[in-house]
Amino acid sequence: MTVTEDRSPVTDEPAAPARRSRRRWLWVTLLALGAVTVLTVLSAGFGRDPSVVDSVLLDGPAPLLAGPTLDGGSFDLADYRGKVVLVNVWASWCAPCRDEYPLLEAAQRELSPAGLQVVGIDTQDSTRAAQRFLDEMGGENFPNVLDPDGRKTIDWGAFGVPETYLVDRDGTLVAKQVCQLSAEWIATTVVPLLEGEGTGP
Amino acid sequence: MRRVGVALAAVALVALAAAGLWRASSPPAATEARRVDEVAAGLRCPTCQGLSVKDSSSQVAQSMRAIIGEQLGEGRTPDQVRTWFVGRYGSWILLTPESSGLGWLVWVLPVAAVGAGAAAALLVLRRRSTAGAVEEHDQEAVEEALLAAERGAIEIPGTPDGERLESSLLLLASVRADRSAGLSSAAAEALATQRVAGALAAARAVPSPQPGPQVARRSGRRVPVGLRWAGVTAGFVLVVSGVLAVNTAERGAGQLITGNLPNSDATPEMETGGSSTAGGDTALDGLRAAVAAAPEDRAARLALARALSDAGRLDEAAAEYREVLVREPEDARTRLLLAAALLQTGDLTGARTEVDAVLAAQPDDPDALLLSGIVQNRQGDPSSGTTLRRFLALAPGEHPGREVAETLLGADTP
Repeated sequence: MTVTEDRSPVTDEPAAPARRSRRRWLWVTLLALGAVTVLTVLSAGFGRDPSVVDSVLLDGPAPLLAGPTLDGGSFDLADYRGKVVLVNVWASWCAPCRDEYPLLEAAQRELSPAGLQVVGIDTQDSTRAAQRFLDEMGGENFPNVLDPDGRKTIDWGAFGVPETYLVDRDGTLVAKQVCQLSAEWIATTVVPLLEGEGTGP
Repeated sequence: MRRVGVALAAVALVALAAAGLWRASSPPAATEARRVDEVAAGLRCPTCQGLSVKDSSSQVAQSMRAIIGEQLGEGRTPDQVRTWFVGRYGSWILLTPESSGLGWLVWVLPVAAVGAGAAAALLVLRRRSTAGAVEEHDQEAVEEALLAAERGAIEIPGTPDGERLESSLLLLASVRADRSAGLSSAAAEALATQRVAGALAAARAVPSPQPGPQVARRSGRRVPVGLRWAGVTAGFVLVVSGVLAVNTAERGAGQLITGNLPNSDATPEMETGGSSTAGGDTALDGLRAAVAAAPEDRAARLALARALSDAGRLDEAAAEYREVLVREPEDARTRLLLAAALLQTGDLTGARTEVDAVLAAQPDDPDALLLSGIVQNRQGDPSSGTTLRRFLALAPGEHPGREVAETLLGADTP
């Protein structure tokens, strides 16, 4: 047989392009599947804030917290077993801390009869700046532990300011909030812990 | 001669690379500072973006270096120090991913990818080098085609297959010419032969001249290429938007599409007794969820009622106050809040019933007297004046309701 015969490439419906186009479709499908996979992973990631990392300390015993306070006294978390303790990491140079301070102050004022104790960790701050901050905010109604070199925040696994940790009556770290607190968080996370016992009428 | 040169160069290169690797990996004099640096370089600075503790100058990184130094000084191993930090920050703190758990993937995937690539490359190369495996009758066809081409007795169509056949025939002819001149290898000829055979096979795999049912069906289903592409593109866009919609849908109103940080615009504000108000339905939803989770939680329900009342949803607020009162009928404060909510909705009779219930138990309660006075005033009850004056007599000087009472009394008795 020679290629000049009828069964030569001269015929108008060659099968090779069909096979090639089938292969091309295979590639297109694979590429599309790959793109969808990548997009799924990425868009699932869009929903998360990469700076928010869950604390590994949650549901374990709260780290130690003891030391001199801003008002010249001293504080030891171990003395507060039986109370719900809200540990707030702050600094006078942190703007969201300024915004959230009234809420902490109100929480201490309103919820301490029910068994709440708010305590601040004043981190990487000068005592004078911190004192000025509190004066501006209308005084200090809960203790603030001094942490000039940031070591206490390392103990608590804090990434920055403000961060707030909730310790229950048994001394277990039960919740952590990165960034500014909301009244809603207090109402939904802190208040139910207080309801357990020792609530006022 | 040239081969010897290439071999020498390769050996020199490998030797230099090995020397470099050895130098890089050989431990330097283990001074205190170096040992601290070594651990610090593998830890992530918590307050910086993507810096190691060694490279960061932040206060926290300095403290972390001090802690590393102290712990190494106490005789702990670098691994123990790293574990100490992992115990506080999780494996997030490690700059080198762990080789266990999911971190294992990070180590294995690159190796697997290189392996797969190498395997694919080897496969392609081997397929090319087995050109000699052109079957005998194919070989005959190739020779025939080559002869026909030399005689000009071949008709080559203008299709891509035709072009392929033409170019492969030309290639084979030139390779053969080169070979006879000693310029080309047997492998090159085999490769060229294989290409011609492939082109011929493609040409031969043509449907028979009589259109069978199979061909008819094929051509009957034919869709224009442009339309097919449009369809695929539309499908792809649909899938992608579906994926995006599903993954970004879980955020509530007012929340950013990126991140799940609380919205800092809604400035929170504390109210009495653990109750709270925050602007927007998200706060209400949160409170509602809290109440649903713990229906017996008085403080949560009061917070919800207060928030509803502040949002102007007085009927719902009244319902929540009633829920509290069902559980604690003696709670005078809540009963007064209920009365105030009813007063605001205009339900004067309901408000009066609640206030009277409180006054029956506590006839001297200033808040109850004030509310009672206001309700009586609205109802046109002449005893309103007496009630309000009793309130003024009993209420402390700074009571915020004094002004209202005085206004109402002034309007009544000019």
